[in-house]
Amino acid sequence: MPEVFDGSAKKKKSPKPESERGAHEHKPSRHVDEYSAVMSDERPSHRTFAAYAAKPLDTAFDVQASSEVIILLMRQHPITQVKWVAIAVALLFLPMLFSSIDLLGFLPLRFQFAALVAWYLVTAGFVLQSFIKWFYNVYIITDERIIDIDFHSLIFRDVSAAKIDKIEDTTASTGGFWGSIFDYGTITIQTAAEKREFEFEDVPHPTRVAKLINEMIIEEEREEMEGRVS
Amino acid sequence: MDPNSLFNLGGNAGVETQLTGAFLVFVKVLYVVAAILYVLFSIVMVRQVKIMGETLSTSLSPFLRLLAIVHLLAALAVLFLFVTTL
Repeated sequence: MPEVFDGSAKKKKSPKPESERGAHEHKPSRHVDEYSAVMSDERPSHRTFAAYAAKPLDTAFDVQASSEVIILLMRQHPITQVKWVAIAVALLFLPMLFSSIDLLGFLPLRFQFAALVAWYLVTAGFVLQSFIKWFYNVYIITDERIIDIDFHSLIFRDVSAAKIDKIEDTTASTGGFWGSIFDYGTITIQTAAEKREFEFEDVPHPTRVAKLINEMIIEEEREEMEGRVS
Repeated sequence: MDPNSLFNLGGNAGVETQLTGAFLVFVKVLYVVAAILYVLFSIVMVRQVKIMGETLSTSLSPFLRLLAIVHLLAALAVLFLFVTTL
């Protein structure tokens, strides 16, 4: 029987033992500081409220793999939150205006007091809700992927992720007077993942972030060529 | 605005008092309904802060959860205030 039909020959083949395999197959991933000029300049961030937190400590997300490391966590630049802060301050002082023009004067005093209490409660709720929305709407770059966590309202949550090797194109744009002054802008990331486009809106240092993503794409390609485990 | 002018039906003091009372009851119902809706909103907020904290865990998450609970308790206190004192 010709050898080509001998199935037993195939069965005899066993995988190489661990020691015989090429050493490059099990090289661990490099630390981000080793390949990223952007991150090597950054110190791990302890700041909880930071809009740009490099290598943040005490931070994790629910779909994080055990070996996955958060490299950068971003929120919208604080200057973009001035609108709701201004509204909150106005809400705080509005009752004084109402009392000066005696808007609720036709109601008994106990009703006026109740309205005042309700007003400040609603103001507190508005501040809390606005802050929570800003605080938890984050963009995360890990050593494996990019993640966009959105809370559109109190009811809708949207978590999207794309692996670094699926990123096709990155664009950083800074526009407007305030964007130029405070160095914030939008990063648009085109991917081959299920979600085609990611937008990191109004994040600080958009050029730096785009550069980091490019460094990570290069590192990912290098890992693939060298067959390193990621 | 003079409240008496709203209910002035030609000097009939009895009808006037009754209408003022009915108006205040109506206002009280409005207050209580608004407070109930606000309590519901506060409950949703507590639930959502919990989900957010699980999605993204930071050192501030427990504090924010506590704030949301305090906010809910304040909303319940206001509802109680409206029901009992108005």
